[in-house]
Amino acid sequence: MRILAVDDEPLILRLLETTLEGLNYSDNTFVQSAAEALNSINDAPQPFDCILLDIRMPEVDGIELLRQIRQLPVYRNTPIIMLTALAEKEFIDESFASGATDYLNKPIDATDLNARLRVANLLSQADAARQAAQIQSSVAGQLSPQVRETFDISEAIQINDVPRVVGALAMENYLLQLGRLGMFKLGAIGFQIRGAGGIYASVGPTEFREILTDVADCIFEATRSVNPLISYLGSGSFIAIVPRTHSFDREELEDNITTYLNRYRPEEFLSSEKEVRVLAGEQTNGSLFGASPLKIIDQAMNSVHERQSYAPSNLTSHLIAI
Amino acid sequence: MQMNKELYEALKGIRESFLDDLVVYVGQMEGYCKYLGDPAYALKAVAGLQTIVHKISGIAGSVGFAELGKEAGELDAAFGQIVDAPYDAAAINAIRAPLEAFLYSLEDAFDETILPSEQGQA
Repeated sequence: MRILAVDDEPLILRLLETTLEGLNYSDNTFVQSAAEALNSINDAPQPFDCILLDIRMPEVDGIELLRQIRQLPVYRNTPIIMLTALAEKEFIDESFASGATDYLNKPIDATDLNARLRVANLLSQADAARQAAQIQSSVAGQLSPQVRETFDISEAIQINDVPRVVGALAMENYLLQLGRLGMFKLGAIGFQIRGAGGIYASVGPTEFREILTDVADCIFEATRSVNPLISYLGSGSFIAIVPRTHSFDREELEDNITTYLNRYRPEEFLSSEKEVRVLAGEQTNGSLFGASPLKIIDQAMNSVHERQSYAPSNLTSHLIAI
Repeated sequence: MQMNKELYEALKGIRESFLDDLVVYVGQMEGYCKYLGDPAYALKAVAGLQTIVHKISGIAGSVGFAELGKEAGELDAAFGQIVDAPYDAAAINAIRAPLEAFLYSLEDAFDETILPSEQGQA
């Protein structure tokens, strides 16, 4: 696995070099600034498989660098782990909202770092396999990779270009990083595209991805006043994490999302089998006792699934599998 | 991670470099402390102090100074609140005691000469 580590503190880089080599990661690049990082990325003969970013750095900080890296198409899904001494919620929120896959606090714990890197390695391999399959499919179909998509409806694909939308694993990592007290301060709302399976079968993966992007954008628009964090979980299901201090009215939320969605969808699709409608569940708030990311997500999704006969196949099994 | 001799030596070197850096940091921090009572420079001094404690908090725990790293992290957060707000003499005064305690902790760190795992090395 090719790793790029960015930290303005030389001693941290030395420590990382020693730690990574001790963990048998030998293809590593270490740089001290955002500018050097971007140069390394541009000059690399092959893209890096994982990036470790410090947050507090002079000139361009790690979160801004993260945003710039995510703008590069080849790095849209690359695992990026924030490695920082900053533990405040604002930095955790901003990091995940800007595209971080994971967040690890200093001091560096070799065992913890190794566990995160192993997950990053799996994600990187899965992304490479997905890209290879996409290219193969494109060649076979004489279409560009951007046009041809290959994914199953149950797959929690990454939704790009929508503010505050993060991957399913990043969402789980975010909740874990907040801890029990942090999760207590949050609420969760589940969303489900009604008849997602039928729509997917009817329109195919490429158009289904566009629908998912539109829906994600509409959920963001409907909840943006509270800076939500949104994730796609597969099977047409979304989760939005919001502050528990704000209580959303479910019906109003659904109406707003429908209104936003209708702006996106061609008029002839409305009231047809291609019409997209999104159901919202009741807001469920975190508990001080026995709170876990999967439990919060499960409760919110159960609330929305109770409202429709279609129940997607075991949503959280995907998260567990990751 | 199993601690082989090569890794142990590398970590020992990093720890020694950290202690060398601490000498510089203590001097810099004492310099900044002189300006804490001056309304014109106090916030800049706090920002300078924050940069230093942030560096210490990032590495101290990894080289055998967990408590020092924790103290530095707490000061980092406290300095951050002061820097992000308008000048507040009372808030700056309130930070003097933990800052002084931290400087004593830094001095104590110099007395640490044996790696925690060194005793286990054959």
